[in-house]
Amino acid sequence: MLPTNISKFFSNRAKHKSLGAAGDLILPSSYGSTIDLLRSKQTPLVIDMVTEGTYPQAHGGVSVWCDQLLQGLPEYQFNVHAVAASSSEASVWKAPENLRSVNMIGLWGDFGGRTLTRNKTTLVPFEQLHQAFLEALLNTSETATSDFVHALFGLHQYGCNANLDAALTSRGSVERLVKTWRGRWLEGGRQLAGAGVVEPSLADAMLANELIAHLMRPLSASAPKGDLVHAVSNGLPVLVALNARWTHGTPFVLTEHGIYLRERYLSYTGSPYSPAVKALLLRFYRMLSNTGYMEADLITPGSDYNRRWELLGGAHPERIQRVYNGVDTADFPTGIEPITPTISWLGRIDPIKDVDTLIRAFAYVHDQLPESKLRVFGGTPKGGEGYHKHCQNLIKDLGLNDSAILEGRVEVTVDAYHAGHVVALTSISEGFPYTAIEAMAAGRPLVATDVGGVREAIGDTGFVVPPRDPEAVARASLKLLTDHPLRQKMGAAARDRVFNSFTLENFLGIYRALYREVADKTNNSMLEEQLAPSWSIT
Amino acid sequence: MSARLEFVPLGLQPDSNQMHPPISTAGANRRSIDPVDVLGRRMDEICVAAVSPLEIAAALEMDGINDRSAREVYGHDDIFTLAEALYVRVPFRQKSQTLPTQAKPSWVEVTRGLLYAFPGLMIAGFGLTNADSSFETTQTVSAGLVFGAIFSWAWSQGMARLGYIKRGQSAPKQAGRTLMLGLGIGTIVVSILASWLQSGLGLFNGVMPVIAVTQTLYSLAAVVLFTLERPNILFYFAIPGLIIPFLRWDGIIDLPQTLILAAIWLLGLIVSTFVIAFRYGEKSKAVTVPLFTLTEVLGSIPFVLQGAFSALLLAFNTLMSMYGVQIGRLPPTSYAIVPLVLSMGFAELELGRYRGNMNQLLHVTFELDQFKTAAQGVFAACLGRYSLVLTAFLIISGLTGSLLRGSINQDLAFVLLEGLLLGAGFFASFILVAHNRVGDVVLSTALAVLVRLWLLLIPADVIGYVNLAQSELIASAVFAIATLLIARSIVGRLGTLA
Repeated sequence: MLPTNISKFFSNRAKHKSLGAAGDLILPSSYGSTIDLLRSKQTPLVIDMVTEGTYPQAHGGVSVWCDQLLQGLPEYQFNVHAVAASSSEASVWKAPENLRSVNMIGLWGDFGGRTLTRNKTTLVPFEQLHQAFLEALLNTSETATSDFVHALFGLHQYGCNANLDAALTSRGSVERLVKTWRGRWLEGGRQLAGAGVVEPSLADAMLANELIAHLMRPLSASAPKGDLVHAVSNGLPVLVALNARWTHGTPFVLTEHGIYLRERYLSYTGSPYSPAVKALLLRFYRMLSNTGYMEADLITPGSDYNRRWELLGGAHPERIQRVYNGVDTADFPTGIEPITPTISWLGRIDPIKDVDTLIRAFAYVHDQLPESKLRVFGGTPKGGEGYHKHCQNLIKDLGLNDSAILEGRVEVTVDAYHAGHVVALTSISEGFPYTAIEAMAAGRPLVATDVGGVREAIGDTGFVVPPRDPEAVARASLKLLTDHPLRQKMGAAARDRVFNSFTLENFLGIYRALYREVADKTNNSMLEEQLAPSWSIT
Repeated sequence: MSARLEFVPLGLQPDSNQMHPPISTAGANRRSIDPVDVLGRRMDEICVAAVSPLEIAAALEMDGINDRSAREVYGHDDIFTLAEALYVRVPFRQKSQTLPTQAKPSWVEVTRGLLYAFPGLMIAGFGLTNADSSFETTQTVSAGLVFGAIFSWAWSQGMARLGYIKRGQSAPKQAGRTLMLGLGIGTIVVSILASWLQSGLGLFNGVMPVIAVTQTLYSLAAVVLFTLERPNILFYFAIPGLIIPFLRWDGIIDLPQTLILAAIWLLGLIVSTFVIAFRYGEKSKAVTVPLFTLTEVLGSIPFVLQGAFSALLLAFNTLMSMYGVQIGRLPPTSYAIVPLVLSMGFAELELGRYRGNMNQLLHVTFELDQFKTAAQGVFAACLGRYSLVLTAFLIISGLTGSLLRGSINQDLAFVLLEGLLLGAGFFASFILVAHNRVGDVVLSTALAVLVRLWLLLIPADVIGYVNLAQSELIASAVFAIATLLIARSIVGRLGTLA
């Protein structure tokens, strides 16, 4: 079903020299001029950082990470492309001098798209491209991801010359989805994973088509023109990266803090969508994530923990290079312990941080150590007011009013760690949390849940306990609060561990080198390509 | 060091953990003590709704189960194989689907036609009871009313379109301000246009601009209130508004007093509308959206044209009556137009029902052909119900008019039939606008107006004598047939209903 010229493009692709794996895309001469490449050699590298729902319009760990990278690599220029709900979202971060521009890519609201710039007859008919896309989306065979990449490429080409957004939301597109989806459903039913577990109704098809059309917008937005794209998460930022690659031949690096697909699965559990819509949207995200893993020149997860999902998604093991987060150790000096036995916690008051378990755990601790205190530092995000109230009520119900305190935001982060003998982290989901390494840098041992990259961060310098287990948190905390030599030994070991493995200098040094390496490798490969006969894919 | 402090992994004690939701035993094997079955029962809520094993794997991780516990407790290599086992063991169960509920229209909605036509109906009623008024006075008042109505209706359609666009952009503040800006500019533009046209036709005198301005202010305020979903304000204003003509009819107040009261009443309505519009959306999040853009204004032009042609279609007879062409005492239009206007609220009701039924239909149909057939059935049923209501109104109007002022004749029958055809055409127009096909409505209304003009202008010896009632009937039939045919072809097309 795939148009022959696109098939030709991809079959020729395989003949070109690879960057490291068979799946890499080397573009023909028409997709990146020699002049561009020569210019990039003479001027500082320009990195196009692509984010989704984080930097620069929101606070949080990923935004801190982005800010660290921008501030820490002044020798590189950055453009930020932020995928957001609306293009009118405002930045909440102060822009460093090397941040050249911020381009908000709104998924909703007006989207101009591109008007037809050349004769429509030279384009592959949209109907054909869209049909290929739908079949790839609903395909569960082994070739599913590569078919999906081919289909995305076709749609990207269309979007370079015509309004892809309008085409995807057209009536014809909905009707094609109805026919294709229903055909697949009749073939496979539930066993056809992701293709719809219940019969999709016409309303399902309309809704799913509308949502997917909006999610596809980054593919036809203005393509980044820098030397390298750094997608700060999988998913929609990958569409921006592919857009740049297929327009200008730009290589891309993919970083995952959490696992994008896993977070999508969790956010769609209990969603208001029908099972059929949910299945199709998750299928789209899965294919997109797999595409990111397959197409990225380098994948830099924030922890080894993420590798499992990345490998499952088709990432080549050789292209995964884990890069741990780092902290500026100067910001986290050691401090004097408080007089009263205290557990400290820092984060946002959010269900995913499971403050509930923390409070319940403290109730056990307080039972054993009545003079002990729990100090909870951190603000409440919008929409989290109910959870904040729940935590307050829980403190009251457990009779901990005078001992457990929700302190709110703290001006100087390290003060929150110094406020306790022990720092707790009770999240039910984490990537590679700053809280852990910051507390460790400040010389405080951690009691933390075994989620994400927490175990990798702590090693043997703290206690790792199962999530949602207040008793386990309490036992570990009591052990540290009461065993002074052990606590001091672990605190010192934690600080050493950060100095050895999780410093900001380490982190920045790795990215400084790998940006240059990936850009140079790709440019060299592309310069070689200039010698090959050029050809057009239209 | 962490290894020294051995805690029992969470997965080993699933049933004793009070932190988890109550166990549902519907999905997994109820009696089995196999750890995977126990886990399946505990995570039943997630497993029965999962659309992929990966969804279960994500939930397992969130529950604290990792590769280690998957191996040690459940005997699987990792959480992914454990999730696949659960996906297979716990059958998918879908909750019973609840169809989208139909929005119940407020009782004010039913009076929509009455509220929009309030000034016209009042003045028509005043003319009916004020038998001593001269033909010239009636002619001038009618002209002010009709020109004001045509232009203000056209303007209001474009204005409402912009208001809805702003609301659609989640910018309610801008919606209120855009509408009020439209009201202000519209009043000036419409008054100038109406006066200019009337003086061109030799129907201008001192009263006319007042009537046109009054008509315009009222119509535009009505559109603002309906667009901002506050039609009840208009309704509450209509009640004291009704009293003024009665006071005049009974001779309690003289003409200057009537005008002063009417001016106070209108001023109150405009001030209330302004307050509502400026306070609209004040609690919502600020959005940086302009009041309007050139593209949005250009996009609203078809709505202006649709409003102009529709109003012209309705007002054509009244325009003719200004030149003395009448059936009985009332202008011929009144027999058809008054019931038509009164039935508009019911047309809106049926439109709401159509939207609701179509929405439900989309949730229960799976095939395009099946949907098209059913959708056309829904359209026919709504049209049928509305036509029945309109027919009842028309019969009452015809009988009342005949008994009061004249006799039943063929022309009156034609006028009543014209009302029914116009009603069907306008209902189909509503459906087309709901399907974002305003251009089609512009075409069909323009076609009907052209046919009517052509029938008036052609010499009698070409097609024989065609009187006013016959020409209206023909033009209305053209409008109804064109609109219904287009609507029939559009209804059932997926994704067109706004």
